Amino acid sequence: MRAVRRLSLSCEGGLLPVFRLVSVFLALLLCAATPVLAQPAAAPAVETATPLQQANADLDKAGAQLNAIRERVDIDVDDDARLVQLKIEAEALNRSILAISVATRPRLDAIKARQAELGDPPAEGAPAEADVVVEERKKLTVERNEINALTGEAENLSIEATKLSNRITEIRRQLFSDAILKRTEISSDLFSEASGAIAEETQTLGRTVTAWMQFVWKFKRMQLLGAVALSLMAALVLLSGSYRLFSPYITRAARQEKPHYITRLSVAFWSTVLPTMAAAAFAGASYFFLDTFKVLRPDIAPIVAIALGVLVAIYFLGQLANAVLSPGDGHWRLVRVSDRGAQLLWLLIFSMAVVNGADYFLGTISEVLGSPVVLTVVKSFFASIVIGALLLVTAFIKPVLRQGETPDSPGRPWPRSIFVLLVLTGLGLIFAALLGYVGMARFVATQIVVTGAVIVTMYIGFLSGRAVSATNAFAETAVGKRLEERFGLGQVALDQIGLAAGLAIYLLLFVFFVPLILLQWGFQVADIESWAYRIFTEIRIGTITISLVGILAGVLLFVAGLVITRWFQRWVDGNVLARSQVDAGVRNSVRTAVGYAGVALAGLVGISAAGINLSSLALVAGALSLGIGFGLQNIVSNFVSGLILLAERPFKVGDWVVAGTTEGFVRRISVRATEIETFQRQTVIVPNSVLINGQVGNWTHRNKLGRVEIPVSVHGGNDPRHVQQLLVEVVRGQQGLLRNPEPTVVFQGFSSATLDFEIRAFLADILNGTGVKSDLRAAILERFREEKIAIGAPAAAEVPVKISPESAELITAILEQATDKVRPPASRRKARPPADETPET
Amino acid sequence: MFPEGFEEGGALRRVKMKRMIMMLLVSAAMSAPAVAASVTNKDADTQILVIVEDGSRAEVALEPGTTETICPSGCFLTLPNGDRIALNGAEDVEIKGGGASVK
Repeated sequence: MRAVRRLSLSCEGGLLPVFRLVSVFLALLLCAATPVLAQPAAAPAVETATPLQQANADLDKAGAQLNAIRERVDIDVDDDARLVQLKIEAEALNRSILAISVATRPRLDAIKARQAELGDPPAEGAPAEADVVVEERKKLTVERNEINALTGEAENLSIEATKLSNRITEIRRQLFSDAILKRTEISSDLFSEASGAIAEETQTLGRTVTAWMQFVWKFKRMQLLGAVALSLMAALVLLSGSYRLFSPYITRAARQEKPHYITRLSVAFWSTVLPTMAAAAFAGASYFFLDTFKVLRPDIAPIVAIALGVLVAIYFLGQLANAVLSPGDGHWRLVRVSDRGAQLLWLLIFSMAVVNGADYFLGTISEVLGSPVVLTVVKSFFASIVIGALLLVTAFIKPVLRQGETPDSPGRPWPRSIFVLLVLTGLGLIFAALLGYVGMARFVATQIVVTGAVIVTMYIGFLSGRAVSATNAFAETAVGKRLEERFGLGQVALDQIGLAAGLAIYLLLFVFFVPLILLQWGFQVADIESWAYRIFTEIRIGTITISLVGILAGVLLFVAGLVITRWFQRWVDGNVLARSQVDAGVRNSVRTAVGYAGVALAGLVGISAAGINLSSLALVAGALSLGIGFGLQNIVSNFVSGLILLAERPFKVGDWVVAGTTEGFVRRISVRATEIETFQRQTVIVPNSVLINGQVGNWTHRNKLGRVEIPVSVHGGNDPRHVQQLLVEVVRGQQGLLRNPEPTVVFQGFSSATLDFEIRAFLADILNGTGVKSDLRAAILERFREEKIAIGAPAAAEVPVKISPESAELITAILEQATDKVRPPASRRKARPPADETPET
Repeated sequence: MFPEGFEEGGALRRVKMKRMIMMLLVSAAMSAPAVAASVTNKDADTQILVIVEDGSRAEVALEPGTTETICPSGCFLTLPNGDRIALNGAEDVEIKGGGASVK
């Protein structure tokens, strides 16, 4: 039956786990950091003393430790928490034994090497060796045998340590099944014995508590009050802080007549978790301060601890039931039950929590006061029966509402499945207790009450996390609004924060509640600690071990390297290069090169910090190289081309380049491709290999000097020299053109229709070409008009016609005839004007 | 002169960066550290090794030229020549002439 009590201890561990967990994780972080330092520190110590003696001494010590652990296992054979600790010690010892023998290996290697140097002893009949050599040979052999003996000893010790650790596991398993399955005969003797014991225990308890209280009141009054005040303060700070942060989430605002389901959910979760955390903080702080101020006595301390723990647990359950059932206000209820049903359910759940808590509280008192085991059994017996009865009562109430029914309408009975489950569990508890399986009944009752509550909280929290991370949900919260006001965050940023908050809630649920449930199931903090440690430091898959901490450290270092690179890049670019008046292309190249070098360096540092062997990376690279040969050929060639571009700089950012059919300004040169923005503002991404292998025209390579050409055509009838003279004058007078090299006007060709000239002039900045050309054309046109110079060809070609003298005569005759014929109608027209001629008048 | 172009470059660089980090992570995952020890028999004969690991003693016969992966978490090894060595679990052991060289 002591086992039952141990179990109770393990279960009450679940009541104050928040603090423990925090300390566990802090310890974990520390642990994760220390082993790296610890190992090299041990090695030199071994080497400085005579290694073998040192190793021998260490091994003796390890043997002694192993014996000590074994003895303690025998003593604490029924204390689960101690056993976990011992198991961890045994495993650590095993590792240290291994380390001791590993440390002897260099010496063994040295001996072997020396023996090889000396060679085989001379054969019989051969001349004898020098005495020194014989001596050394002997010494080496002896030492080698000693090392082998030592390692053999270590081997045996290691086997023993492993066996011990396995035995501890076995004992713990036995302990657990004993606690659950142990049967006590329930008889009248048991009760009469217990009733005698209970009177005695009450007296002892009264005496102990009164004596302690009198003592405290007389001598430790200030400390007691101080402890209470300090812990109250801690709880208040936590409570008010969380209320300020989460205010719309934990108070049921009266203004909301019909709160949305998500609001109800969030309020339920936070109004359960935050006050519980405050209460737990109060309890933890009280105990801590009372203990620190030495107000507690060894016999009182466990009672105070269990009382505080039970109170926090009951408070948590009450709060949770209140949040889910909301007996006072139907609008805030999370489940569809009637008002009456909610009140009854709340009462029942709360009673179960109180009974279960009282069971543990009284159990601890019995244990502390050293009362007979029967007393604990009887208490648990009654507690289990009461909880079973409460479950039966729960099965018969009628809380269920149909969709659309108002909360004040009378409820209906439970659905059949729930009813059956409740009845069976209740009856099961009662029968288990009556049959004598008190441990099991108690375990199940606790699971129903506490694990159920934890799971419900987790589920609500999960839903609330989902609600917070829903689109735009975070912006509606007070935190979101405040962030929006203070930092002017946009909707997208708020949404992202909401998502992060949702994920954080999930993480919180996982980190806090899963260990809580595990603690409920009889696992010890040390168990969870070692699991967590193992998860973080070594996950073993086959023969591969992955360390989460290492990978995390690697990623962190990589990120830090990136940040430093960016900063260095900016510093080099802004402070050094900008002031040394280097041109933009070089600046860009240097900045890019620094960036890539930094990333590569950070990557290397990160990879080695993650514990990844660079030689295995080389293996991967070797495997990849085949792939590079085939598939990644283009990418690699572009990459190398990019590096060449950065070094050679055939063009720089801002240059006007022509590559194939693409013409435009270079916007960015990265390692794989270069971005060219055309004049239509289309960005063309040109792979670097194209730029390296193909021809690239650059208008602005060394300088921006460039020539513009303007063709000009004038009417063929003009005087070419005059026109040329005019053009030269105009060009000389034009702003923006260079005088040297001199602009020229070329007479390029003439035809019957036009004279064609071309103006060729140089510009300091070819980028201004278009504007200058346009100005120049305008100036030429103005000057031509001023000088009345005809531009362009005549409207129709002037065609000379050849005619023979006979034809000429004939045509003349025809014309004369025609003139004669035309004349008389003209005279007739005067006499009688025809009607069809009226439009002419 | 063309500020908007440079901003675009920034966004692109970030995308690039992400891709780079992804690639690094992937390659890191691919080359996760192998910690178990490996034993290679370089002798012409089959060698028998005695391995003590997790509290149990096991004999392993190693054919000539073969490599075996043993003890992921450290073990004791008894070699054919009688030498005993302890391994942390990340070493490469070569058996030569009944003896071992540990790398």
